[in-house]
Amino acid sequence: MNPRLEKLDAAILILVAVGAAFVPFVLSGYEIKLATTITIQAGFAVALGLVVGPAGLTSIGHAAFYGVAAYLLAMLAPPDGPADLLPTALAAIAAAAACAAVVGAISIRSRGMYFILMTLAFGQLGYHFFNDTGIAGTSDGVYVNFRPELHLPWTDVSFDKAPAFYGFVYVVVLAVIAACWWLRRSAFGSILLAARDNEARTRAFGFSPYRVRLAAFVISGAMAGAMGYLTAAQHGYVAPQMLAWHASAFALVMVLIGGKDTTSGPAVGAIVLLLAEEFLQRWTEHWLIGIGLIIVVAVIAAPKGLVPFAARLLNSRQARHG
Amino acid sequence: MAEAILRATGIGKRFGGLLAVDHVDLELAPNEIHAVIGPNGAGKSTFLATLAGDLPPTTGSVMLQGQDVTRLPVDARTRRGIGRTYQHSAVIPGFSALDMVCLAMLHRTRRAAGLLHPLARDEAARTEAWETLGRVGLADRAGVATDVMSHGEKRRLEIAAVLALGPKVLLLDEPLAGLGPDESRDVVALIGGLRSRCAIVLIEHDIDAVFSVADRITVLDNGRMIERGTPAAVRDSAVVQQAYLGAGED
Repeated sequence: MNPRLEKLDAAILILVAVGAAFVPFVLSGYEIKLATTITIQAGFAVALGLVVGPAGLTSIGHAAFYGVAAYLLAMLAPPDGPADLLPTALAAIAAAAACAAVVGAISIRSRGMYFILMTLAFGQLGYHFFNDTGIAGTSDGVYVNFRPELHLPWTDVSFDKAPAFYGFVYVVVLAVIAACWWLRRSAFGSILLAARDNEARTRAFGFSPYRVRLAAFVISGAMAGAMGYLTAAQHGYVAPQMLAWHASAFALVMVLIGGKDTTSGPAVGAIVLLLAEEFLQRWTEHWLIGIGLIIVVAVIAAPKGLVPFAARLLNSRQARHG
Repeated sequence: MAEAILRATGIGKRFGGLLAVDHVDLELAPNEIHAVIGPNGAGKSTFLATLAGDLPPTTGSVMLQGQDVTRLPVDARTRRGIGRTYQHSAVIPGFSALDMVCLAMLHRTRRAAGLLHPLARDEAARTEAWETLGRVGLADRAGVATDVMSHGEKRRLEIAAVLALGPKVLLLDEPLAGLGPDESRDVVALIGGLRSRCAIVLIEHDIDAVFSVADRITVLDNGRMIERGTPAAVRDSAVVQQAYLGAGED
């Protein structure tokens, strides 16, 4: 990544993180719930960005990992009281990681269009598993009656109030984004990039591209699972649509709109698209047409994503004035 | 001859109806520079690819220090000590020269947990990478992106990166391709100087360079070995002159 884009990437992350920290203090009610949704989706998009960007794997099946973790909370939560957050979250994330390991181990052997088709097929397999079988509510979905509680040795922490839950989501998503930022800049991230851009040379340096891609895929799947768990906890309801290809594709659009080669790009994509969705829905019932137009304009104007586009604008502005 | 560090026996490679390499043997002694020459299409690069692990041989075996590596993929062979360069410069776009060399050193210098740190974070590794770049005359280009390097610089960077692997056996596939006379001279001197560090299999079309640096030469034609010996013996071979050096031409 060029140094200017790298600086802008870090600056955007810090700016968004600082701004988001004020949400519970300056917003209220529905706005906090909207901010919670956007924050979770930003975390999901950044997690997906790790495989779409440096690993070069265009997954259209990541919602399966997101949804599996959500379903796990729904199935583990007792009907008459809040679930214990830590064990259920760990189980949900482990289930998502295990699914990602199986899907990745098979899919990563194929490349390009075939990889996309494999992840699409696995994602739909997950969707139909929950939609068509009676394991968890079929197409009606299943409720999570109480938001999970964090049991600490000295106290229990409830996230029933929207600001408290937002605070919890904020910390988790911040950790996920920081981990992705770190991984992209680590030697591990460099091996991923090298394998993406010159696979033969990377093999001849002693690395197995398959193994590093699989590791990235599993890490990303586990993070997507964490976001699915948060979504289930937020809405108290889980449905098969969470695993469907539309959800994967929408997250992929967030990644591409913001810029797959930066950590902040997918988060920016999530913020832009979800805010646009929110405001367009208030304005017209044909809001999906508006979303489509926004995507078309963004792809034409900023094919590498909004963050790289902003870096290029800053570059040209500095060149004019410098 | 000392115990061979690399022994290829009966290597054959078939692509459908085409037999690209036909039962070629090669024994590489420690610190030896063994050149493989032949006209275009002789099977040199295919033979090298079977030694490196890029292509599994149809027949035969490859032994590295007495261990059978025939079925190991290229990354596993690299970790066991076989380094290779490619016929076309194979740098990693977007990386600086220093980062590319640090990447090559990684599996030698880092444990798994070290993968979480940035590439050039370790000062000792940076210094070693910088010194390796200095060996190929690129110390002052350490921070330059590989994308903007000249063809000659890319070839030298690739050699530096492969040296950073610390190979026991170095496979060089036409390292002088596309280089000017001055750059070629430098790279030939560099290859000669590597003899003390590792054994080398050299594929090269520049015959003068091959004769100046090789200890032994194997000549391939149509996938088969037609001659093997010292440079002087190969130069005087009637078979080689007939098949490769153009005996009888004006």
